[in-house]
Amino acid sequence: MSDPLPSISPTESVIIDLLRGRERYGLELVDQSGGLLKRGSVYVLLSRMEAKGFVTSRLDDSPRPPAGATRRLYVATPYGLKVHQAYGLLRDALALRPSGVRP
Amino acid sequence: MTSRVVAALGTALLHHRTIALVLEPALADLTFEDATSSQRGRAAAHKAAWAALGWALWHDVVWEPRGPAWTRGAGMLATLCGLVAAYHAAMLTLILGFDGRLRSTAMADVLTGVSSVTVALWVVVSFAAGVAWVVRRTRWATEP
Repeated sequence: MSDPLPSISPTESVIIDLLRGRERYGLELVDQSGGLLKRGSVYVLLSRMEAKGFVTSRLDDSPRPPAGATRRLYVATPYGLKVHQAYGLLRDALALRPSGVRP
Repeated sequence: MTSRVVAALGTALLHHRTIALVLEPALADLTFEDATSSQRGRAAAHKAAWAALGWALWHDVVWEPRGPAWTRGAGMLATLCGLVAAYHAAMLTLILGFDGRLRSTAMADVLTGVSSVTVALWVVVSFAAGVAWVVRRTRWATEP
């Protein structure tokens, strides 16, 4: 039996878009999302996405004030970008459904 | 204060991976914002740290394949409670008999004394087990 298809939610798509080819902090994602992401839940989302292989993270090694606060940087993986792109194509294809047919 | 309490609760209740991926970044943001933001920003950061703890608990209960970090401790506690309950049920049965009537006052005194000592021991042992369960988990900052 084949593996189940990966799924990506609209919120996860927003995160992948923001992390395309650029490392960002969680708070940066919240600020850039225009209210779509919440500060309290963003790290759980990112953790789930990391478990699914959509993003990867590392501890920030650059010295920043205040000392002792090691923040985590996130970036989209090629796999995450691929799934995001595939779902985009699927959405576009299904948007061409005949009129009167409910999704 | 928020950092310490949230970190302590997280250490006691969450898997170390959840701590590393969910709680630590939120607490790092809190420390960062405490030093750089306005009062309003700091208040939001404190609120977000508590929310992160709530979401992390939800994540461990719903998502974590191994189940919540406290499952084993809770199972052990339930087993011990069951043993003590069974012991006291047996004692009551001996004192009162199956028909509910007291057989012997002397026997009742002895068994009541034994039961009291057992209850006291149970309180001490369960408190120690609870403390050991929390301490058993090493400091979250030093976990792999």
